Amino acid sequence: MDKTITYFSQLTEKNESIIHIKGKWVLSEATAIELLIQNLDKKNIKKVILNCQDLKELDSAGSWLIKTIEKIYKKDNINVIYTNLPEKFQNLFTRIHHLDDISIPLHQEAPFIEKTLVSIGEKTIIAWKDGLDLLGFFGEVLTISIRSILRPLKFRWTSLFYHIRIMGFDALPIIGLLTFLVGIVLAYQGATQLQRFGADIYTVNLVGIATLRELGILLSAVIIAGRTGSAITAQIGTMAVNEEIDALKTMGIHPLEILVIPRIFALMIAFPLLTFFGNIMALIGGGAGCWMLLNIHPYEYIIQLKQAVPLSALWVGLSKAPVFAFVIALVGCFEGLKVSGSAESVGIHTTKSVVKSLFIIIVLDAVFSVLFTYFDI
Amino acid sequence: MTNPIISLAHIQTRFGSQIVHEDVSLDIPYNQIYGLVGASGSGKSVLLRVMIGLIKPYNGNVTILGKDIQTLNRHEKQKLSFDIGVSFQNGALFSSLNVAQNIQMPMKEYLDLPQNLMDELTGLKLALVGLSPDTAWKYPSQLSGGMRKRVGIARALALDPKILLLDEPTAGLDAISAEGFDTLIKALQESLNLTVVIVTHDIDTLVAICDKVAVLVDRKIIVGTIEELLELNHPWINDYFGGMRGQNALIGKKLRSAKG
Repeated sequence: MDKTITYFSQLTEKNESIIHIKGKWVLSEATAIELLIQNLDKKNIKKVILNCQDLKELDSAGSWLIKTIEKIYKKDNINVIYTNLPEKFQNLFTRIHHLDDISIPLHQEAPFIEKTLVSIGEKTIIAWKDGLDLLGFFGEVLTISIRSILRPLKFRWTSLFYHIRIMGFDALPIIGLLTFLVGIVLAYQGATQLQRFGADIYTVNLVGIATLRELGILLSAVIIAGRTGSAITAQIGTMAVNEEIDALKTMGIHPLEILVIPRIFALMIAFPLLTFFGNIMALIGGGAGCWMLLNIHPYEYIIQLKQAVPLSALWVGLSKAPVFAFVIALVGCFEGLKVSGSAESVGIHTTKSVVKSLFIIIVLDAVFSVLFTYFDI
Repeated sequence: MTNPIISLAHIQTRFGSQIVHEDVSLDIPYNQIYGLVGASGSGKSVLLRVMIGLIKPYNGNVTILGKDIQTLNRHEKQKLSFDIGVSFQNGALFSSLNVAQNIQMPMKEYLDLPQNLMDELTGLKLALVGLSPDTAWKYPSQLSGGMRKRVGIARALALDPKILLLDEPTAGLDAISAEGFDTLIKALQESLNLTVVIVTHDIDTLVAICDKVAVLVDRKIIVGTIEELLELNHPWINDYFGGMRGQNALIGKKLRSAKG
């Protein structure tokens, strides 16, 4: 039996066609019905009668399909008449029937090459503007910092100490653990290579110099950018979504003064201390590694360290800390204040904040390396 | 069709030791608009979530379309979800998808429809909620609050449900948009033969379109038309409808019906 029978049957006599609609015209049957109505008889027909007497169920999708039948015939200037539409479907049917012009406009996608070029261009411009914005923000922060320093009585001391605790003290365990582990790793890698030349003891030099000059500070910066930088953006961003920033402005309080400056100062104080702590932990880790693998006694390790590593190595590493701290806090606040509208935007800017601060930190680290080499430090 | 479409029997919900609903029973018949009101924190939204099955009641039964939702297996639950459309307070649109994709999401998930038919139906749903077809390619972030709510309803209607649950549909809308929304809900209910449950604070909505109002007070529920509720002389209900806003809404209704 023809499957058409389930949904409708068509009977054509003398230019007049009667379509008998029956059964369930609902969304779950729509695929089948849609296929079938494409094959409706159209030849030699002047008039179509849609008999809806045996329609059992109808929803908006079904009504739309009935309307589609009408449209198919109307296109060929064939008259369509409805009969015996059950009372209970009257409302729905009329509502759908009177909707015109509902087709969604086509969404044209540009060709791949054009799209790629446009996107590269857009991103370049955005990155450039973003850089300028950040530079502007940097300037603003500097001016307000100076103003804050000149008026120490008005400085938000509570906020500063609170943030030093959150950003610094609370980060001690994670920094300590990770740098300690990296110290061990460094000792292991150094030891396996240097052992071949019988230069076991130089592992200590490797650990000492690498940790103090580069790894301690860089690793701490990465951890803090991920931990604190993102937290700053999320906090300030959530406040922006909540319109708290606007509320501050209406009270005549500069958001930079109350939100940004304490955070930047706090991180610039806390981060060098954290770095120093990280350095020590890494050296302890290195010592542990040397002891385990090369059987260098801790006492021996300390003596060797003292001989091999100049104090300047420590200062070289630590001198970068305030700069990196400033970058992390600055970018964190900058992205936080750029949050607008939705909670989604908080997520986007938090990601951006971490990526940007890491990028800037690594670029700056390279610059520092070149400078230190140039000045022979 | 004499059985209620939604039936809550002796529902008790609690969070920890805090009891939200003590003994709530509510029968909602087919093709009606029910308003659900109550003070802030009285558990309106919680009750709505109990109806959908998002929150399990501590005690009691929820029967929807004759099926006890607690005894359904995963497959039957999924089938039942076709018949329930929910629109959350701010539309709860998926922010990474555009409007068309949002509306087609349930269709794609459950039905094997050809893309052109889905596009047509999307246009149809948008037209039903009073949005123009070119809204389809916009992203939720590009829409105003009112439009987002409309798209939320369009998505709730995607699978042609029998029940439409609305959480605060008019909250945050200006008076004109809110009235437009009331009219829209009424029109949708009439034309699509829906049963609608509205959680709302908006007395105007209650007066204008709700057949009955269910009031959550003292962890229990009281159901009736506004006139019936006022006769009960319950202090909270009297305050609610007897206040300025309530009176204005009621007077407005009388004026409108007098005008014809």
